Amino acid sequence: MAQGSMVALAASVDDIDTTDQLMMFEAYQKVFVVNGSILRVADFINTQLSTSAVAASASLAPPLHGTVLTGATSSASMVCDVISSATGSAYVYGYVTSGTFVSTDTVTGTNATGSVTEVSFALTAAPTDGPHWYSWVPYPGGSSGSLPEKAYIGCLYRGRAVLAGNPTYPYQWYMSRQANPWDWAYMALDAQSPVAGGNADAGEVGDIITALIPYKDDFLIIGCVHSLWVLRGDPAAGGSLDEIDLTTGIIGPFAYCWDNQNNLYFFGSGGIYRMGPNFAPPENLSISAIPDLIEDLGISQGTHRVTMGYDRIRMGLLISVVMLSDGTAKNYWYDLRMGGLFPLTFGSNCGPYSLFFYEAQDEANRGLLFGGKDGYIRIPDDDEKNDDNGSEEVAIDSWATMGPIQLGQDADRRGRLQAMTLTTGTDTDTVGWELFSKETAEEIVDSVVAGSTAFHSGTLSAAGRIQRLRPRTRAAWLALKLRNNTIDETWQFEKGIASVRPAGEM
Amino acid sequence: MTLRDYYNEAEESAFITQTGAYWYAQTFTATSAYNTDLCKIRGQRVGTPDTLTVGLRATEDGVPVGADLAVATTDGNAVTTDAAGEWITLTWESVYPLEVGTVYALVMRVASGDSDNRITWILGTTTEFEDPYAGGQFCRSTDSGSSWSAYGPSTQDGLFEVWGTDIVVDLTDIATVRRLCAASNNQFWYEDI
Repeated sequence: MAQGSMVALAASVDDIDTTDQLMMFEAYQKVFVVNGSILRVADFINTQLSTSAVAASASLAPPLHGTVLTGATSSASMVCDVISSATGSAYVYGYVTSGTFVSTDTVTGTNATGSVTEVSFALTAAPTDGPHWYSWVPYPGGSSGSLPEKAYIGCLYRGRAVLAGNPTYPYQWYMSRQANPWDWAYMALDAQSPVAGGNADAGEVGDIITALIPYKDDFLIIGCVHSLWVLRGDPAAGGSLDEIDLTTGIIGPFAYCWDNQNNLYFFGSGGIYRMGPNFAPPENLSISAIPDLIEDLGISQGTHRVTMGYDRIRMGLLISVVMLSDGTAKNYWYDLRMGGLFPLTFGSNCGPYSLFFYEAQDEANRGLLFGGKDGYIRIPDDDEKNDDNGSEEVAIDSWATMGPIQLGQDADRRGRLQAMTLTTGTDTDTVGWELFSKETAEEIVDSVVAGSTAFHSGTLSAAGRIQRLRPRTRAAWLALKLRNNTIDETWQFEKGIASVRPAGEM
Repeated sequence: MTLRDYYNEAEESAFITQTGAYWYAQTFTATSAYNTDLCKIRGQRVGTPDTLTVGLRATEDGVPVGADLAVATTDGNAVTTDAAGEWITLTWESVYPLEVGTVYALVMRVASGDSDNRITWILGTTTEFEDPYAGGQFCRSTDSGSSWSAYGPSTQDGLFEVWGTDIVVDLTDIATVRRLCAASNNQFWYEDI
């Protein structure tokens, strides 16, 4: 299989429901899939041993997590990770540390705990290398507790698998034992004990959990509908749960990203926020440019999926709001260098359901990946002039408006536009220009937004400096709009110079 | 191989005799992580002490503990009899990795020595009566290394050098694979690189 090509894990086919909310997180060289009542593991590290009797008699025990197993014939050894059953036929998954098991092996070991510690079982088939696909359940044998009946949010924090989003207890969070995602027996009273909000000193949060955001091993931000909380340290070893903000929450489990300065960006109750290191008060980045962003987008948690991704190559954030029913998306690009917020549109087939910066070994595959509605993964490509929309290429509708620009010497005077020189970049194919002039700045903005007919327009069809244009007008305010919506075309704008003379009082 | 940890320049000197059940040791703190190949001690011979042995040991509460982590021997009869002594090079039978910040001990003994056939370890002191080497202390065992205690004033330490090389991690046995995984169309997808 070549890099850049993906294949389906055969055992997973139709075993997950991608029409329902699904999260995945990596831990211990496995992928843990959190999909409501469907909790699964894609295991890339372990070898699978098969037996028809994992504990054939009362004097034998099934292997425990961490037990070293050795093959009598092959002398191969492995560290047991998890088993599928504590009785009868079972698969034993473990990391092989030496040799290769064979189908004729009788595998033995000694458990560290239990009234019966001797392990011995015969293999019934040759060992199988990964990847493996199996259900994520507590370690079989009856003393490892239980996972929540449903979960829609998951992450790894301090070596613990963390779950939330249980519809029955939406304010509850659950953590596995440290370094053992199979142990969910809460309150074992040791520092690595499995722990849940209701059973820990840290406690539950009083709001519905919408996102789990771990930061290294230092803290875990718990985003809720209307509030933000932080879990510092380990809840079973003196950790604390404190509120960060009680005025905004996070709209969904994917509605956040980190930049390279340890700033957290998230889509909250009032727009797009940035929270600096050390839990500085969240700053609303969109409130000045788009005061009614939430209302404008008509976001509802039940109908939309909000995802955010940090593009370390282009130094910005992509914020995507996708309608779950049809994949149509409204997107914004927040440029970290300029601080500008720009709307983006993509074809209906490539509305980003998921955003992920892939640090691929092959540079050609490295970048912010878009997981589209049509099941394809796309990546921004600077050499392309069109958007891929599945079976067709679509033009990129791009525009920029400069203005309103005051033409008069002050607010009570008009100016006369004599001439204008526009300079395009060398990669420009064509770009259309439109000039709007009005007596007030508000009228200008309204005209541009409404797509009103400009008083002058044209097309620049050459790269580099353009000959002087003479779109004469007399007004108090002016705006210049540049746009291209043509297939296989792109454009750049370097600068514009206007010659203006006084034109009397208003 | 470079000199790593040492106390090798004394303002004034003293002598400790290594003989029989009386073993002496100098503890030191590894100032970096490295593989030690050899050590040197400043010593002088009397008579024919035969084999001189130095062991590298761990420490607990500032004194040697446990068995030798590494061991080195040399012909004690070849050591100079000059009163100023010489640097006796002892190459470990196998290199040993030292961890930064950990205190180790160089344990010297002359199994067949006696009062007429011995190696003396040259100690250093300062004219200001300060601890000449803050990273360790001089120790003595009177029962062939079974039990230890600090020995002598804190203003003197055994002259020693520990030589070693950087620890090089062999990456050829470590393979990393970065996989892109995705869920789509009710299936789990993965990329192998």
